[in-house]
Amino acid sequence: MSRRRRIYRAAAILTGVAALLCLYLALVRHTGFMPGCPFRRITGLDCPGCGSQRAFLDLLGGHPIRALRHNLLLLPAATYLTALAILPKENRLRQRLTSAPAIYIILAAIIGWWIIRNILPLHEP
Amino acid sequence: MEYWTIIDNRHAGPFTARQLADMDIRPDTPVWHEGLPDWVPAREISEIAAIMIARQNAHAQPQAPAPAYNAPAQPYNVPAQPTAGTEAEPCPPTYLAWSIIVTILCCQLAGIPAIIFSAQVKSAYRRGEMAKARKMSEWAQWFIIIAIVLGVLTIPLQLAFSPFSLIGK
Repeated sequence: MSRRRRIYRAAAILTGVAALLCLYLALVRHTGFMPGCPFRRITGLDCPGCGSQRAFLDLLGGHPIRALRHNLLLLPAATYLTALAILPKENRLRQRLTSAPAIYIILAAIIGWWIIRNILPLHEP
Repeated sequence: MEYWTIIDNRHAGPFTARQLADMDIRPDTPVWHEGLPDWVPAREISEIAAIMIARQNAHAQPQAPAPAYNAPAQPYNVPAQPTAGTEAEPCPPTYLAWSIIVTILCCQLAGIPAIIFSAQVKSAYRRGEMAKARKMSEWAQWFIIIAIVLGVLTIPLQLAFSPFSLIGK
């Protein structure tokens, strides 16, 4: 893809995302409706991502620490995904982070978090 | 240099050495060129032998049978890859970042298999099983899409079954 088309495509995607974001924020702030987690509604337990939405809104609202406490997995996950985004493919650290064993460790961490957060009293009001 | 050969018991020619190699002659196929007193096996003519050897090396097939690693329905038009690729092919995309994102945010039911498939892309690639690696890559994509669809579907469903969710708990 030529450079100009790349820029157009990036601009289109950013505009779309920004538009959706505005719609979402308007929806939440004016109606109080927040799409909830299906797992939680059915079982009452937390899924690995529960709290991400609250965390996101708090982050936008300028409360990063409060944001973090909603879901402790979010910061390590964001760090890892950022590393994937910025490290070049040849980088040795990246290859270690994305090897098959590493992926299984990440899966175990996600499932482990899923279980632990439902056992430990981590909830905040 | 022009060569003549015998095919199906008939004289054929003239051909160049390349054309003879293209015709898949054997090392003992009789060949003649001007100046030779009689027909000689192809292998004894250095120009022809050199081309045939070079071609054999380019098409070297390892011992492992390629069909064992081919999925029956191959969506991609790729030729059968030998177990140890003669050229280094890059690893198929794992879509790992997306697998992780949908597992955490959207739908664990489809996201967890997606992560597993992403891992399998890597492990199949390390073993040299390119067809399997590509298949796992494709399945990871599908499960990511399924996770997103399921996750998005829950929104109207929630609207339908209770007008508003309370913020937080």
